[in-house]
Amino acid sequence: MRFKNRYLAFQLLSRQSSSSSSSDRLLIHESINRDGILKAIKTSLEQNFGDMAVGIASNLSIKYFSPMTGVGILRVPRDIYKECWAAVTLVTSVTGERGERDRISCLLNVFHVAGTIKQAQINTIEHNKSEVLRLQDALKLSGSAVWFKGKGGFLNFDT
Amino acid sequence: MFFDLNLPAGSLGASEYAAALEMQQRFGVTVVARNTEVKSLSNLRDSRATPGLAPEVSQSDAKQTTFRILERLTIVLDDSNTNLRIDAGNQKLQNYDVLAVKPLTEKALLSAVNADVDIIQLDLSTKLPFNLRKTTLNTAIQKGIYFELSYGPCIRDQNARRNIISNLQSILRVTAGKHLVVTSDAIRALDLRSPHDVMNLLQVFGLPDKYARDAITTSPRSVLYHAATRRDTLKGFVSVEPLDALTEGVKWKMGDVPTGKELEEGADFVSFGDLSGFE
Repeated sequence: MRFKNRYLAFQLLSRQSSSSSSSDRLLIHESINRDGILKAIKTSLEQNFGDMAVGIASNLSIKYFSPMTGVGILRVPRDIYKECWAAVTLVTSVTGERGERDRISCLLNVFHVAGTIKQAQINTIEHNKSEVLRLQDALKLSGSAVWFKGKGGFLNFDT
Repeated sequence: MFFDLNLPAGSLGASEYAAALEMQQRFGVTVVARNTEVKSLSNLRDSRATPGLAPEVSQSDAKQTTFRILERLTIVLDDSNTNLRIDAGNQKLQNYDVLAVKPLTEKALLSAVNADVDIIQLDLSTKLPFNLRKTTLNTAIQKGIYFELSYGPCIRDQNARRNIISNLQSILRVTAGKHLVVTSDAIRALDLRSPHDVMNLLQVFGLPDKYARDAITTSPRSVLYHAATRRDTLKGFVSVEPLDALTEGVKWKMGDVPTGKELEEGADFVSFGDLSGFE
């Protein structure tokens, strides 16, 4: 039988310190990349479930990550997906592009568990849509600008 | 409908507290309780901070999904203050929606299970200085008191995580996972986790799937029922409330009682509490 996986659709949420002006809400740090997240998850898996879990989950990989929205898809082996999910839950910080020097505290919220990457993709798109709507609502309420900061520069949702 | 009955406003600080509330709403948590921890009952405030937010025993608008913040009081008990008056007669305690005790010693736990409270919060993030006995915990369970497990410390600290897992195992030996509420006890907004993440975490820690779900859905709701019964009813089965508190759906209970101007100002009507409202 073929090797079976689970795909965890997750979202990285972080809170910037109040250095940026309070009217602009930076959502995702520009220097977060998929390597940093994968490393954080593997470290957490090793810390909580040991070398054996890391061995079984050797094909752990991030299939997709968008620094704009912080949404990503993680592939884990089906046999120990619960342990992998718990390891993802217990992540408290990820390293950015400059390694240990910029450690960003964050949380990883798994919003969907899918059996195929297709379903994970469908749900990620769905989640992104509701996320944009939620931001637009917040925007209308506060009357301030909401910024996505990503590699490609700023993306601004105007009221 | 998900609950978080422990958001310590004191240790969060104002900005983190606001961020925590925002985070909880994003995660789909609909009821949170703002926790205040005290060691004595002497300087409790006399009035409610947030009037009207508490779930009433007899409001039958079933589909209430607005975000609500409740007030919770946690009394820390050790050997020195076990003779506090924690009962229905103490008016100051009626100002809080949820009443919890945090026993630090075995003697304090024994007095806690006999007190008139809703939650017993054991400090599971440290090694418990006493064994949990089946008879003690069963006394509490029979009174409808729930035990609290906070996942916040286990996100923050690796040692606390070990202790929580080991203490959870000893609770499971006694109660098999029933009568457990899971709360956040977050000291930063980033300590919070979404309800589904928490459920999975508990399952990995060894709590049976069903009880992991109950611990953040139905059990906290039972706690609120228990609290409302303790607070708003006489001996747990009769409640008295003003006429205008009745919603349209339950007006029939009044029978042929004259309404409006015919009644004197402030006249009350006795009804049996309608417990179907809080779902």
